[in-house]
Amino acid sequence: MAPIAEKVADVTAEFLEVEKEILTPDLGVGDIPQWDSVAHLGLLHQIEKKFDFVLDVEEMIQIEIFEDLIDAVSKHVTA
Amino acid sequence: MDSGHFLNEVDGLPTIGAAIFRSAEINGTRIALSDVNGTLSYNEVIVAVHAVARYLRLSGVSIEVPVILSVRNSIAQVVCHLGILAAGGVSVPLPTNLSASQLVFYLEDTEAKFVLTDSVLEGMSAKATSILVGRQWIDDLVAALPTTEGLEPTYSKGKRSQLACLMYTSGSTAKPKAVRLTHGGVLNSLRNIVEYLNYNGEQREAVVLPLSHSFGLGHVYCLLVTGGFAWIDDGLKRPKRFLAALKEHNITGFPATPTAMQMLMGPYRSLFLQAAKNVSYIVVNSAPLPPEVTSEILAELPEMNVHVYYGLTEASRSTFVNLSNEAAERFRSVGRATPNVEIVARSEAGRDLPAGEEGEIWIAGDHLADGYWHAAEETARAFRDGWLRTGDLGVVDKDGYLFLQGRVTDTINVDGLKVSPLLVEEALKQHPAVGDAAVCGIADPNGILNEVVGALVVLSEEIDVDLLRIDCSERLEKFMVPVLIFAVDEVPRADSGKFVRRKVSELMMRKMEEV
Repeated sequence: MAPIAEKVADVTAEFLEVEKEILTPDLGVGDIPQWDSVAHLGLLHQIEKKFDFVLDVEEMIQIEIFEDLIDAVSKHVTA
Repeated sequence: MDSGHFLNEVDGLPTIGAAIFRSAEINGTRIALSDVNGTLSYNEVIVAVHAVARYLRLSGVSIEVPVILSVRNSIAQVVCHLGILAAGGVSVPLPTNLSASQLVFYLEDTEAKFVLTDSVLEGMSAKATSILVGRQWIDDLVAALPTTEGLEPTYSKGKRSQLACLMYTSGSTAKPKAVRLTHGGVLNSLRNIVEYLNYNGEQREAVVLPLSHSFGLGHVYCLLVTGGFAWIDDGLKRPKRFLAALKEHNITGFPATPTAMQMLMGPYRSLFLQAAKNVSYIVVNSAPLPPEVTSEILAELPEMNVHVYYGLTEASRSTFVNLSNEAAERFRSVGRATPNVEIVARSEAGRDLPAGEEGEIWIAGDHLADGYWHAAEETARAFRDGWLRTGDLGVVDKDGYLFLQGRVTDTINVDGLKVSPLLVEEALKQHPAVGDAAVCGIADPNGILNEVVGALVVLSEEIDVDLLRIDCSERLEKFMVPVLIFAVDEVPRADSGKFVRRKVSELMMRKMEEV
């Protein structure tokens, strides 16, 4: 995994309280009980906080799976 | 193809399964169902349902034996539900992620000995067996079938008066109560809906509403009995997946809550408008769709038919209106009585009121449920001489259009789902730190839903009220958990000890203004 993806995985795993290994690119909201729609909003907030940027609505609605999260962070943060 | 075969034959069909079997005979290799795990043709649905029914019968499920079904929206959920019916049993569709105390309640209330679930449940009783199900489980059962010949008897066994489903509703009591739905009542409802919406086998719907409620399940039934197609997903958690499915599966219509429509016409607007080009109808339930959202949908998608209905679990889809054919002043109406249904407003004394006068809404028709499970008093109160007393207040105008005005009781309406204040108050009081509690409907502080649950609590010890929300979510379905909880010195009661609900609401408003 690229360094940014690695960091996103750390934040996501810690926030959702899951093992990092289960975070496959296509895992998303609703696939595991820990990642429901409420946790999803919390996760986006946590990502913004940890990587110090703000997602606009257009970006937020594009994020549904782990891969989308990595893409969004990559756009805002350089490794 | 037209809706003729179902409408012509419905009166002679003994069971829901028989209607679906008949449809499968006509539609054989057409794709009936699709979800993230794959598809099933009509023929495959029939074989899969038979396999589940056979397994359940061998396990001891027979006529009118209740089976709890806690499986998330998927082909597996539909097949298991129909399998229970085909075994002669009574399906009890419940949400997933049940907490231990919820499961204990449902097991005791239904006396079910079997639970079909797709997750490991806590709170299983030693008296009941839990069976872990899913697509693979169904495929394995199909593979183990000795033959797939001569399946019809599985589906045609049974009578119209036989109990098919126990569907829980909050009602106005302190405990959820189960509505008794018979095969005949459900078939009559389907006849009304198929006739009104003209289901003819060409409908292809995306169904993401919970199949544990009659709104979502009813759509799947209508599609299956007429040769349509359902793409099923578990809620609108993945709007992009939903929007992609609209295009990929050539979806022609979908059922939705007002909240979902507000979301699709809000942040997802441009994506939705692009994906919905071939969608010719939506069906929205009776929590009011804000008129401005209706106007926006009709302005952006002029070909769209926006159907709104009013119904209860006890009286499915009792009115319908196509707002696309109405002037804006009717956008707040929930429509006119569905074919074969009567709707009247009555006074407290039970007298029919003239058009335009507000009263309690009563519904009659052969689509009504036949009462509540193990609740003779409640049944006698609500079901009288072929009429259902709804507890909803409304006005029927001179043209027969119903306008809902609120509730006779204090039931809270969260996006079309009813919440009894008593039920939430009982759940709050289970916490040792809560001495007293009063609950009322409040405007959603997040501005998403029309109404949500708010609570006032009297604490016997200092605790963070957020902990109460977590505690409540163990005992209640998600939509029933209070969004706001305020600690107060006392809750307003009359001398009789009863709440003065109006004062509860006023105090709640004051607390909301303080923050």
